[in-house]
Amino acid sequence: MIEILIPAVVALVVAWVLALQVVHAWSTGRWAATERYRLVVDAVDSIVILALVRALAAPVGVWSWAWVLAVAIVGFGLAGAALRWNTLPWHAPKPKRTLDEHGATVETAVEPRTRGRQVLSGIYAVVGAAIVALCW
Amino acid sequence: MTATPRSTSRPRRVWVIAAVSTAVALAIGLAFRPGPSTLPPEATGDAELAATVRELAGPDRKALLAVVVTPDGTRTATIGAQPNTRFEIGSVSKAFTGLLLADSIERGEVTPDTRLGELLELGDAPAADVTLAQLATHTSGLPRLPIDLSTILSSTWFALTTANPYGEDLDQLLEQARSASLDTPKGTYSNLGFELLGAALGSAAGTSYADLLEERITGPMGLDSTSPVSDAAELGDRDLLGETAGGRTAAAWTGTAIGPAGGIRSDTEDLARFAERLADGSAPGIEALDPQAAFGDREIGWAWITDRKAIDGEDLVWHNGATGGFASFVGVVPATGTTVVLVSATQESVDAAGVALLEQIGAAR
Repeated sequence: MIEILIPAVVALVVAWVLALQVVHAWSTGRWAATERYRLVVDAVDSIVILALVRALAAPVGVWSWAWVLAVAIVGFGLAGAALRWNTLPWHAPKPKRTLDEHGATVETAVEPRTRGRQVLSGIYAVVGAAIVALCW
Repeated sequence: MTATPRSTSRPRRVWVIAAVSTAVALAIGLAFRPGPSTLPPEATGDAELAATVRELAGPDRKALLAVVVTPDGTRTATIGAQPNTRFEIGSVSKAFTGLLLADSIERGEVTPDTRLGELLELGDAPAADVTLAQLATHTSGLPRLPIDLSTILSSTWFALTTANPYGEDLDQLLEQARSASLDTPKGTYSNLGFELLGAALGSAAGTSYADLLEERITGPMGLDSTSPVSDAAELGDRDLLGETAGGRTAAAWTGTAIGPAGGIRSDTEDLARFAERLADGSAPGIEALDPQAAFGDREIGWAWITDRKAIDGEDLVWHNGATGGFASFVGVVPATGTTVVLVSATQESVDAAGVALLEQIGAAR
């Protein structure tokens, strides 16, 4: 049972992470990424999880071809991220919502923390690259 | 007349970029697709045996050695390496340590009931009350590995990087033993237990495990290339590095402490001599193969496991092993004087192939 359960759970987690990356990068609706930071996180998550699966789970046989397919999907997601990159800010905070004296919702714009997101994205990418290097 | 607008809102350029990016990623994926090496077509030794084990163990291995000893003679085959290339034999090292225990008992140096605390400086630690028999039959209550932060971190680090997860010296081993509890269920396979058993036997003889093994087991059998490796710096050109099941090169498992439990290396020529001495019952400490206790639904001697009537109605006495980059199996059918040894330089079990080989050669006849 456990021999089936663990690969199934791993496959589901990988599928979820990759689906998020592709949908965030390519979707134009409510699931679309609204900031570059999200694109960086998605890309790093996808690449790191594939490196970890390759190192720890050692997928062989049919699973190794599934891993190759997953890498191709990440490539597709990266293309979407690259195409969207110039249209997005580093940080797109949601407006702050408060209630006025009549109980109506009031939205106040929040100042984006561009520099902070750039630094955070850089750290995220460096840590991700380090994990991938360890797994090689 | 103007052309009908495309139904898609994305321009052609977008899809070209997506296709190129996907194709590049696909190429990267194919280049790094996880998977073991494939055995080369060339082999040394018995060509028929090489073909048989290639089929039984499968071709997805970096290298493979095979030994078959029957009353008709000895056959060996080495694929992807030379007959004097040293492979890690992993926990088959425990089988050697079992022989050493039986030999030490026969010499009157220790008894099965000798307590660990009589031989090693363990103070009043629970492990001091464990007997050598309990260690050799995995009934001491010691855990498989020490349960401490250092071991957990090194195991995780090994899994990520394929580095050597061991490397402890005797002082570190004793420290682990002093802090170990005995609440693991009896019958739990314990590397820690066999590390301590080897250290204790060395102590009883006033020497090290490595020297004692050479003096009493490997030396008398002429196994000049068979020894534990305490440090990676000792490795030479003949020492092969194995690979994980996913095809990553694994660091050699070395360390003074791990030697008795899984740190021995050997080659085809030595393993053939070893198999011959097991088959004819003349190996020093051969009594180690005799069952001493229940081990799940099996029986166990001093490390050696017995499966009753497993090979066409005859008993199979065996041990297997695995390190970061190797898998091993040695099986003896004492009733017919038959032994099979398989060692793979890819960490993918060869147990089933070993049993199948015994059946195929008619080990029970």
